[in-house]
Amino acid sequence: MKSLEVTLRDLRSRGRKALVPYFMAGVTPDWTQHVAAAVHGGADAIEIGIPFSDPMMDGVVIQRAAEVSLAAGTNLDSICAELSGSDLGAPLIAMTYYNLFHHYGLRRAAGLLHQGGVVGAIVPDLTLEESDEWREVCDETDIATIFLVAPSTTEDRFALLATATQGFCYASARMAVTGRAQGAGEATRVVEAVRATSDVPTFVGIGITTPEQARDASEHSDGVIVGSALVDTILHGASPAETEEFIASFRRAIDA
Amino acid sequence: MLIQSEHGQIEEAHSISAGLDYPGIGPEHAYLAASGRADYVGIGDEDVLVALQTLSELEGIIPALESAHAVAWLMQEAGKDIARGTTVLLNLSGRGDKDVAQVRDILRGRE
Repeated sequence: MKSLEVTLRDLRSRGRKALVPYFMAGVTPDWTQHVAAAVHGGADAIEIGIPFSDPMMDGVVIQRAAEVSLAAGTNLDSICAELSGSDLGAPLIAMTYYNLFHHYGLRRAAGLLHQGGVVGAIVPDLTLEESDEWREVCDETDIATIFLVAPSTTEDRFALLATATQGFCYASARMAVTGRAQGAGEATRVVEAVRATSDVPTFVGIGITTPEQARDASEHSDGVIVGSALVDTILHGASPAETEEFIASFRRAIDA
Repeated sequence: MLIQSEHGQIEEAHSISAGLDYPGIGPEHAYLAASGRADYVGIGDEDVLVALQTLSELEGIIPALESAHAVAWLMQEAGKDIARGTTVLLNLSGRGDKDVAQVRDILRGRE
């Protein structure tokens, strides 16, 4: 079992709901300080978005953040170099798209991530059926391959994906790209479908915008992922201290 | 096969024909190119406009801007790599009546 899953299962056994914020790497020069601040504010793991020119699962906020980051010259090498040697205090999970890994070469990409201390990868455009080569390369390191499920996932695929995923299962609450949304979507049904076939920790993401939504989603799952709502504040100039308070407000709601 | 940077970021494409204004090609063409079963060449927008007008004027056949790339290549190579008298099969894969308004605007803009 990969270390990410050991950590997240341990979290669950201690009765703590996971809070996983998403940051776009390189979006500001001080982005790693935002990550450290989030951990201080109560984040249990961190998603590190690696910017890609054609992010097919991302809405306008994260698209914009990717453009800003790419315009500043960010790439997989520079991100992993920045991360390597910096202990940010929580497991790091990369989220990006497959072309980057394919273009770099899978072994080289996984090696860079590993050097950067990354212990998980979410690659939304990599289907289970196409993933053998990537998973084999990751098995040479400690990188967990995390799969997504969604309201459109069929019963037999829930079983396949919940079994194949490592670390946790990413439950998309709605049929949408990343971005702000209202309400709970179909999170409860999606999480229950995973739980019917696997005991892997299951986190809800896509559209978690407010602490109240995070609290509601965490009641029926093992944790929540908050992305665009947070990235938007950083795009608008939030300081690391404000990021810490943002995360702390979600933490308080989830723990209440 | 994609037009991409050294870091795997997809670059902006440009073509006068909307159907070709895309930074990648489909898997069949990628396979044919990689396996050496087909050769692929590039044609610029200017040559395409000339080819579209030439075929329209000489034959009364208005090729799509996409297909006009093939006509342009044939006009360029006739008498050179392709000897005169050679029988050539050209796939005129699309009709240009969809493009005449755009071509008219481009040519008018130059008058």
